[in-house]
Amino acid sequence: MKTSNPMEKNRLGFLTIASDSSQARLGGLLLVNASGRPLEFHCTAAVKPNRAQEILYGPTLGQYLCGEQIGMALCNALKHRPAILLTDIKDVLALRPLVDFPLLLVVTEQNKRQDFSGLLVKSHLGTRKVCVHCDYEQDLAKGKAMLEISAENLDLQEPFGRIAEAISEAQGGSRKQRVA
Amino acid sequence: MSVSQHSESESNSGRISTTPIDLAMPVTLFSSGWQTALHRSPKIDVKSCPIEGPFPGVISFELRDKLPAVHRFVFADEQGTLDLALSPRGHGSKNSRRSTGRMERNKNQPATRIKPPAHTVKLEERLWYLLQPSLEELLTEASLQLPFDPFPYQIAGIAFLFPRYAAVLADEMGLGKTMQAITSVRLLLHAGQIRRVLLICPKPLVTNWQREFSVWAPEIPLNVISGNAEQRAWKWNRPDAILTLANYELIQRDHRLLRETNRPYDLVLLDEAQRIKNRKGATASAVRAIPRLRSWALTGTPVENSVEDLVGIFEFVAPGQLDEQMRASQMAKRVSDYVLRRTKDKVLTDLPPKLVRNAVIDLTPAQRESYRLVEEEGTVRLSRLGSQASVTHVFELILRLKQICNFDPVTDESAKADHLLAKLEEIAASGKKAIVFSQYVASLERLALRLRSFGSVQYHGKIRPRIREQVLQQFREDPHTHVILMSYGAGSVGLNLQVAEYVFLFDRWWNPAIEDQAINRAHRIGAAGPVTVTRFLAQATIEERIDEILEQKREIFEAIFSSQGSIPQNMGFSQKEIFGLFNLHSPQGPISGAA
Repeated sequence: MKTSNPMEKNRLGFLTIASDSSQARLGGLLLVNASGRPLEFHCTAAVKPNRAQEILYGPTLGQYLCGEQIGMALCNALKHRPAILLTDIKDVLALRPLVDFPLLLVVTEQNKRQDFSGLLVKSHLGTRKVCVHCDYEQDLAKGKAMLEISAENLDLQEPFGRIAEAISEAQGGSRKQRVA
Repeated sequence: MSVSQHSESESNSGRISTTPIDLAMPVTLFSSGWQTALHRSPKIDVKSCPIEGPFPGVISFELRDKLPAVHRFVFADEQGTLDLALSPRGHGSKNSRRSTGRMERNKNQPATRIKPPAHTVKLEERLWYLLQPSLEELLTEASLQLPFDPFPYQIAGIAFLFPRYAAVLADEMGLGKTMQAITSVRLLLHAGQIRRVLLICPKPLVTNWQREFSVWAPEIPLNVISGNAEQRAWKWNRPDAILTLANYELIQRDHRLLRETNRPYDLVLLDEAQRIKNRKGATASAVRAIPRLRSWALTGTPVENSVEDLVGIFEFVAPGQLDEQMRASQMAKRVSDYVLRRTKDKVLTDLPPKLVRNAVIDLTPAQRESYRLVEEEGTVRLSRLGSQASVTHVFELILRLKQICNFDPVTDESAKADHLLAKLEEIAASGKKAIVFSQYVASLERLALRLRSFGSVQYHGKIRPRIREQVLQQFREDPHTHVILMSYGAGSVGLNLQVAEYVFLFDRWWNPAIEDQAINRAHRIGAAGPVTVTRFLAQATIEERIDEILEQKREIFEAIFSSQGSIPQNMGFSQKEIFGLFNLHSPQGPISGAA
């Protein structure tokens, strides 16, 4: 992953995780420029925990899979460093100690009923609510500084829909290629 | 031998003491078996049993897995060829849809996403389209100011064109194909997807396109091909040209220059693409030979005369997709991913209504007499010719009869002109404007003499191209110019004349599609009010017979692109229909002059 490019301040990363019909998790990371146009897209193969992992990781399994496994694999694949990474999956915040850029959780229509108390700090960014891990409260300030101009017009939820569609397309494409 | 004696008293006090007493008995020691046995090893069997079993089985779990595999897609971060830093522009229109420049984004409305077409097979390319922000988002960018907020169906049209390498935008006339094409080109240029575009249109529409570009994409410099051969050669070879604009005639004339270019155009866009419907024609050949990556066609009448027209257009857009031997259902399936057609009644529900009515006119006695004489003479002549009669002979007769329906050649009387004059008085008095269409320039010139008091202007083949734009401007802007006289050929396509609320079809064209195109000069986006269309029909003449056939064809035309509708084999007049106008049978053999 390249760093310290002057253009990086405009790059935003969006990371989400979808589930397929077998309940396996598929991660997708979209890097866009300031206009929202795609620069990079990475998606993982399907990840499904085995029984032992389910027992031994217990309630931390989600953080392990979403943050340390899928999130880390996606960030390793990035060619360019994002100025900020946004996610709509709470468990992805477990990735934060492993990366050196701010990581914000966007509160969306889908995840707003989840419990964000405890380890998370909640704030507003434009018209959206965002959360950060309480150990990385400074990410909020960095996120606000970065998005304060555009967040009024920028829909922070919309790119996650794009990623979900692209994951589905990539899975279908891979299947077609395998069949061929 | 001695024994021990216990003292009771001491015992009671808890202490025990013993006193040895010598019994003085003789003791003899002798060995016995019992004592001997004590000195032998005990007879005990010892069995050894290992108490450690095998080690218990252990199952190890590798909890720190390898990271999952990742599919990587890195897109080229192309910079557009245009200067994005545009200053806000001012526009003087009174149109209520005019925006302040930056498109307003209504977040409550569903966003329009770009979908990759079925013919895009490369996964990376499909993902690039899927991952684009919504068009509404893209159009809110400061660098993409629009003078008007597009209608939702226009956004959908842009979403259709944007990802396609082969596309036919076949919207009904007046729905804004020009705007959709310009905005799509603009988005692709800004995204760096295209750098060189060639736009080909009919000659009379070159200025119209220049005007539309100045409104919708003023930052795109136009390289308009014109001048003598040397000047044109220089313009064709300009390395910095982003959008080159040329007419069909020049494409044909300069086809060698175009073919020899070693750089293909990123996009070749045809306006009024029905111009290449004849596959064997020189224009179609010249257009098809242009090296290009993307091929788009705009037409309101993809099927003007027969399905062969569509095959001809597809020879340019997607060669090999169609052939005329295909069944209608097969053809419809093949074109479905390439063609987008919308009609006003479906998408433009708030467009002012179009009221169409026939004005049945009684010829003046002088006209009637001239008509009768010519018809009798002509019919007799055709009958005499028998199997030698050709379509050309019939056309000659039709031409003479239709001209008499307009003006009597002897007396210059015209029942239609009288009727028109009366209508125009009312229109002019209310400050409105009208367009009068005719097939014949001679009829238009005669009308011009009678309609001087309405400030009439003319727009047809005899009007020099350099002053045509002035004519249109005068009609649009001069409050004393109430009527424009147009020929179907020069004025039926591409012009925006929404200022007119009345359209008169002084005589009838052979094809309903052409008539619709003419009507839609006025009935289009931006129309100030309802558009009233009056079609003149001379009673008990050939015009009535032609009208009956046109009506049948109009119904078929509407069904062309519906999934249930069968594709008609012929939209113009067939040989049989032409002869049938005079109750004559068609001769055998091919006819050269198709209607």
